[in-house]
Amino acid sequence: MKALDSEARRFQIVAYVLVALVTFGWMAGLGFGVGIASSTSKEFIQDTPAWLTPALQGVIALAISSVVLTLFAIIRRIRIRAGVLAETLPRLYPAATATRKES
Amino acid sequence: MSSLLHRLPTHVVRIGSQSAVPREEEGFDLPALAKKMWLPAFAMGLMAVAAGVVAGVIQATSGNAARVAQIAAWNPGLLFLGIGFLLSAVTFTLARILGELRDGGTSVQQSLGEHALMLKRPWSGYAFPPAMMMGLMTLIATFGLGFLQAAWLDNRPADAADIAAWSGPLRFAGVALIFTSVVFALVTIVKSLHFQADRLTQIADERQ
Repeated sequence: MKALDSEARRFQIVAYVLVALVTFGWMAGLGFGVGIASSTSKEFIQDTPAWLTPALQGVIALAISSVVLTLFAIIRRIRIRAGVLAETLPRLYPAATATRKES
Repeated sequence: MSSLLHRLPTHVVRIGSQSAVPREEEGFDLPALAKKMWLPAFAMGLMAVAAGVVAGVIQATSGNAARVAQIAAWNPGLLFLGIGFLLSAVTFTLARILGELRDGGTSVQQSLGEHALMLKRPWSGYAFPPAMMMGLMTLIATFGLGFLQAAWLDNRPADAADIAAWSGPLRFAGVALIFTSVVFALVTIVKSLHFQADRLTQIADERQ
């Protein structure tokens, strides 16, 4: 149970790091967008969108990766929940459970 | 058809507002397939997006106008395909969560000495795998179309422009289909959680 708990925490921490990167990524993307709009350099205006759009899709990829990691943390938590319920519920209903198992 | 009918569960029982079947009567084990498939989908998605970013940098720094036009034709398809694979990994992971809910529910019921029942697969559970596959196939097709468009830039520019006009919206349709599959998978998880609450209540009621 402790191993599952530490795995869930690890996944969640990495997901937070990715979310921080994603936040930095879209803010930088917005900055470049404003830069393109206000720039007078023809070369900058022409070249930047060619790599900025793929880079922003890379940011989306990071965001989706953080979703996957959070879902992994959820999977670990569901396992912990099932283990706790399977262990504690028979203790809450000991007599009824024993009768059922015998029959 | 007869084999499909043969596999349909026969002992459907009502738990609260939902239908349930015994655990041993489950048909195709989708979560087991999802457990194998999520990593290849995730890895292919990351690789495709990374390749798209590199192609974008080449496009931005290249002085060859023909090469720039060709990369501009196929690179969006590659990037969308990468996003599609990553979203498919999300769908597979949601299918894994459904498997965990099923297995956890089974262990809880068995620990209480009860016959393990599971939610009869709802319509959303049948709908999300085909929706994901249709979305992914759409994105693979538009990825191929990007290369066709690049090849026609010199010889058939009008046809290449036509492809560019409708393949863009088609890419978004593919991503929308995969998002739809994510929603259907989440709906199935909600139904599964609802079923587990109803089943525990039923067990407690029977014991009073």
